[in-house]
Order: sequence, then structure tokens, then C-alpha cells
Amino acid sequence: MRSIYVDLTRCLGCRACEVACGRIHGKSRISVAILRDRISMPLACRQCQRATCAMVCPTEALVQEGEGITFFPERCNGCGLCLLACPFGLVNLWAGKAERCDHCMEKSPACVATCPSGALAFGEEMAFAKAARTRAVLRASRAIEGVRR
Amino acid sequence: MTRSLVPTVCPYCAVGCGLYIVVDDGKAVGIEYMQDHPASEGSLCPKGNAALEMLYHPDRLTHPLKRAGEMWLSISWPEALDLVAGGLSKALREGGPAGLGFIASSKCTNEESYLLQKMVRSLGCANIDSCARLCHSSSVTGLGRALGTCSTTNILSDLANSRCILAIGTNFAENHPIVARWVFRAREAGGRLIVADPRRTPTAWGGDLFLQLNPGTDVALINGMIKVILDEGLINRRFIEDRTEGFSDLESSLEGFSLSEAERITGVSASDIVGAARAYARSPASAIVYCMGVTQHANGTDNVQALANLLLICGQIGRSGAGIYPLRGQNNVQGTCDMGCLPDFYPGYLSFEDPRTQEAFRRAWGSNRLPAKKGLTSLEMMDAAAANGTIKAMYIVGEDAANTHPCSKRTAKALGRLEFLVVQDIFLTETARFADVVLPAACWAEKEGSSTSTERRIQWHEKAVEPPGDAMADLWIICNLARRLGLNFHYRSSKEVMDEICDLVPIYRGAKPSASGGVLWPCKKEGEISILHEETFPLARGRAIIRSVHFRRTAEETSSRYPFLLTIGRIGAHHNAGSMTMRSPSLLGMAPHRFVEINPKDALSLGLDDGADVVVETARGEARAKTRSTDRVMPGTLFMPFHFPGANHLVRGYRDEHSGMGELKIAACRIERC
Repeated sequence: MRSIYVDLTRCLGCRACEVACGRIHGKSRISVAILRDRISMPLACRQCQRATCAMVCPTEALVQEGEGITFFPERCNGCGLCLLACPFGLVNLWAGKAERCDHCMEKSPACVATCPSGALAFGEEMAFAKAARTRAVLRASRAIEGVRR
Repeated sequence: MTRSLVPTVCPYCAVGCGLYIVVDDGKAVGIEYMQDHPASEGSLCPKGNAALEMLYHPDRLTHPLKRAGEMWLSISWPEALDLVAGGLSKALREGGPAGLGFIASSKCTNEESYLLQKMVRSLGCANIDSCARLCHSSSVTGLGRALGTCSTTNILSDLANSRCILAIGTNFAENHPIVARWVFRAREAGGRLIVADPRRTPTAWGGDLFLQLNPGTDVALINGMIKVILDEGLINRRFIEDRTEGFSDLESSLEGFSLSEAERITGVSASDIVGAARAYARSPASAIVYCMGVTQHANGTDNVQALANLLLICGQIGRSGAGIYPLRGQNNVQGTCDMGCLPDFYPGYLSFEDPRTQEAFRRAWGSNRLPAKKGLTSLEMMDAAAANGTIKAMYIVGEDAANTHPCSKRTAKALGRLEFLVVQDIFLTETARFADVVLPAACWAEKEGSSTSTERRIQWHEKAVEPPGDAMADLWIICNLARRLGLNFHYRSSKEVMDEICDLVPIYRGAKPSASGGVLWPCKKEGEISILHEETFPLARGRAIIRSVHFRRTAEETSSRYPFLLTIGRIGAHHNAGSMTMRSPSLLGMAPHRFVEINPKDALSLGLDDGADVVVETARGEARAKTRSTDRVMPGTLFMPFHFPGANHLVRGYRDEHSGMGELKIAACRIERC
């Protein structure tokens, strides 16, 4: 499933993603949470496979379509049920309409392109997991190299 | 007009990220990322993303202003320039060139900085300085003496090839976030990251080892590491013998120094010092990254020399992944120094003391009035103006001295006593409020020119949009003023000035700065020099200088009246005195007011809850803030950002005897609810 993934070991909590998103969409749809001054995590719509926001939408403005969620702003009545239903608090109401991350409509998302530390990635979850495994192996191989030297 | 993309360089920090400004019908409407940029690969930090927000701010200066009592009168350029030329000429007649002081701006282009110092020196005045005084002047002296250059030795992307990175006194995660991009690549390839800082900043989050040293004890920490390296025989003897001088002196100077002493002074455990020393010395390629936490001290030059000693005894320089990175603060502070906006150097760091330098510039500039001695630093100019009035007139470009200099109240006194003050800026800063004449300048996007990033990358940017109202490019202002002062400044464009620079300044010789990535200095026919000192150091005998330094307590110590140590620094959302970022809504929204970090234990014992309104007081004065209870700071230490007006008046600014840097990092203070 194509989505925005975050490498938590790289996120600095700098909030460049928020400013970039706000620059393009008027208001940021990604939000960085910093916990206990030790770890930070940017959160944007998780593109749930069984999306509660779409399930509760009374006007079919949010519709589950295959792997993604499509939003029809003209149908949205701004009732805010989606906001209540989202388990992550990632839907906003802005100017009477629901607002959530749409991956910059399949263009390369601005938050990913701007991320200074390269913590954000856009792609398939398998690719993200594979990249994480590769990093782990690379790190381990250096350690082994040190022992063998 | 149609839509176009204009390549440019971010105006904030010195990483020098490239970006495109989207221009539609003459207006800057957006940003596109420059994905093939060699330092940033298209990424931008929050400030970079917000770079356009201040362009059309209603506070922009649009007309020259003349003081009329408490009021400002808008005047025309001819009147303003006549006034300025008249005021400077009067001061020259009455007090000679020594009665004038000039401060250049690191936000200006290389061409503008070059012309300003050329104008100043052609008038016979030696008093030219820039904000580098309060930034990396300790690196200019420290690295200049030890290695013969003052810049990052390797390019930023080469950090990815490092196998051990010692980040000391730098919070690059907030202040140069792009650096993290390369540091993380090194870490993910098995490299180690050691972070030394009094605060547990986001830079420390990803570190393998975090050394939380007491503020101002860097020399003791580095000497402790050196001691371990000497005792355990981890030195690179061949490198020391072939390429350095002064090693035996260092060895004997540390005979009486013990690891337990280092532990006692720094508060870092001996085992961590040993761990850091071994990791740094043993790795096949180690790099040191440092910033204001090292330089902004009354012993800043010693701190830098200690780092140089460490890398020299280990031979961790002159190879891919091995080197030293002083991270510069402003977009063109490297260039402003390169261009000689320093009281002790001609362009290209050519020394006043060398008669050949004098002769070369005398001939090139056709002037027989060039000063023979070095001039005053920016802080000394303020001293002279405040104390005895020997500086009568000042011309300040883009520096908000009233907010950024230490002990700002004294700076205000100095500015108030001046007979004539000209401020050239894009906003009416606190400093500009003291001026007799204010000249409205174009900002970076409104003019063409080159700037040099911290990695020696000279990048050209084109003019994207028109300046507001009558605001003019600094180049135009300087040229027109210089002509009124009787100088032959007939430059038609920045390119023409760049040609002169490339002709005259050895390190820029052969440079053809381009947009989208630029070119590194020194420029050689055989290609870019991305790693300095591979074979030699530009010092006598081609050898680097090891010089022993000892830990000295130079900062204020706590007392019963002032039981806390206040340390001052930067945060990610803002830039320096904040004249640009405070006018960028998305950045101001991230950090709208001043805060002071306090350890939860201290907050508890003082009964201060998170977000309490407090006043922080030092012997110089006080500042209000809201508390932020966090274990980023140790008990007994407070942290406050200096972006909000009035923080730097808390620090005394004890001077570093070598560089003239003022102690900006540490002050003894008390904190109370208000």
C-alpha cells in the first residue's frame, strides 16, 4: 500500500514537513508529535485499509476505494464525524470541510521531498521495510568487519 | 509575463540549500525543491520552506528614512545618499578614518561585501567587521593558526563517508538540519555518532554516545580525550612526524593532567571520555562537527585549538570522511569573511602584516590611503563609541547589533552616543531605531550575486523579483555612496565585481560561480577540491601547528545570588535576531514567544509549573519568559533562545583575547516567578 512512512531513528522533530505541507495546502495536514523530549514522530493520514472515517461519513464524501480513500469535497457537509472516528486524530475541519492528507494527489508528497534528515519516505510498505532491513544489515556488517580486522 | 522557476539559495543558514522560486507575473508565488543540489538534495528545513514569507511583509522598508526628532521622514535616494556621504565626510574630516566604524552583513552577497570593505579601506579606514565576530571569529583564529584555513575541510556530503563523527557544541538537528542527512547516512553504514553538549538536544537523540558536559568545560573534555589517546598509544605517529609541529609540547603539557580531573571538571564520566577517545582515534575516518557551543566563549580560540590538537594527533584529516566542520551560521558568513570584512584580513585572509599584500591591493585598487594596521572589531567599535567617543560615526549593514551583541544595553548606549549612524537593512530593526539615516535594501531574492556556503561552495543566484518601493540592492547603494565619497566605483553589475574578486583573491581565482550547485573554492584546473589538506597545510613549512591549551574558567560562576548557569542558543524555528523569521507566520506559529528551559527537578523545587511566567535575571539585567520544564537541560542549568529581543543583554561578553569573540554562552543567573 503506497503511503508515507517515517524512519523514527531519523526524525529530528524539526517540523519542516508541517511548514511544507502548510505552504502547499494552506494548513498542514501532517503533524509532528514530540514525546518526552526524546523521540518525535510525524503523523499524517494512515490510509487505513478499513477506514473508520469513511465508514461513518453520512454523505459519502469519504469513500473507501480499493486500497485508498477518496475524498469528494463537494459532498462534505462538515459534520465532523470523521474527525471523531479517526483513531489517530488526523482529520481536521477547515472552512467547513474535512481535511486530510491525500499524498499531494500522487505527486511526490512535499513533506517527503523536504524532509532534511530523510526520515520520511513515500512508497510501498514492503519497500520501506526492506530499506530498514538493509540498513540493519549494513550496520551489522560494519561491526563484523571491525571484529575480523 | 509567464510563470518561471528562478534558481536561488536559501537566505537562512550556511548550509546553502538550493531551491527554485516560482515567479508568476513578477511575483514570487511558491517554492520548488532543487533535487539535484549537492548539499541538500532538494530538502529544506522549516525556515527554508518559509523563506518567501517575509518578502512581501508590510514592515519592509520601502523608502530611505531621515530622522526628524522622534519621527521618520521619507526622503529620496539622492537626498539620502548626500546626507550619508556628508555625515561620513564630516566624521572623516573631524576624527580621521579611525573615527569611523563599518559592519558588513553576512546576508549580503560576496560582491557587496567585497565592495563595502574596498570602499572602507579606500577611505583609509581599517574598522570593518561583520557578524562573524560573534559567530566563528574563534575559528578564524583557532583553525587559521592550527591548519592555515578556516572553513569546513571536507564538503558536507562527505560526512556520509565518516566512520565516527564527534559533534560538539552543535545542535545541527535544529540549526543545520540538512547536516543530519549526511550524518545519518554515516551512522546507518556503521559509523558512530558522539554528541557532546550541555543540553540533550535532538542532535543527541540519535547519538551512540552522549557526553553532557558542564557549560564552558570543552577544553577539559577534549584534553581528557587527548590524554586517553596518548596514554593508550592511539596516536598516529607517522602523521604527527610528517605533517605537524608542536607535539612534544602537547605531550608534556598534559603530563600532570588526569582523566579524573577531566571527569571532575566536565561532569562526564571517565568511562565515557575513554569511550569517545577510543572511538574517535581508532576509526578509519573520523570527523569533528562543531558550532557556536565551541566558539562563543571567552576561550573560544582555545576550544578550537583543542579540537585541532585532537584531530592532528590522530591524523583524522585530509581524507574522505576525516576532517573538521565549523558549521557557519548565516548564508554568506563564510563569503563575508573570505571577502575580507574582518578588521585583520584583506580579502582571501591575506594578512595586513605582509607588505606584499598591501602593495598588491594598493596597486589593484589604485589607492594610496589603505590602512597599514588592523582595525577594531565590531565589539571594540561599540566599546570605543560608548566609552570615549573615538568612534564618531558608524555604518551598519544588516546587523541588529542592539539585539545580538552581548550586554546589549551597553551597545544601545554606544549607538546612542554616535554622532552619525547609518543603518542599511530590509526592516526597521532595533538598531535602525538609533540611526540618523536608514537605507532600504533589497533582500536576497531581489538581487543577483554569489554567496559562499559553509562548505566553501560559491553559488550564484539570479534576481527573482523586484524589491518593494524604492528599496535598492546593496551593491547599488554602496557604489553610489562610494562615488559621492570620491571613489571610482563604476561597476555595472555583480558579475563585473565577481570578475575583480576572481582576479584578486587567490582562493577565488578561477571561480565561475553558477546557479544550482555552484563551485567550491579553492578552484583548481584539475577539478573541485572537496577535501582540503590532503598533502599539506598552507602554513610555514606546510605543517599544521599543535599548540597545548589548558582549561581555564573563563565564564561566570554561580553564586548565592545567581545560583543558575544560563546558556543561550538557537532553536529551529527562528534565525538570529528574528527580523525575518518573526515576520514569517508559519515560523512564528511554531515558536511565538520566549521560553526558558529548566530541569524538572529545579522547577519542582522552585514551585514552577510548565509554562509559568518567570523573570530570568543576571548582573546585567532581566528578561521575561515562560518556563519549559524539560530534562534537555541538567539541574542547575537554564537555556534560553536569543532570537527574541532582550536575551543577549543578559550576557557580559567577556572577550577572547585572540579573536575578540565575546562570551555569549554562559551567564550566572537567578529565576523567579513574576
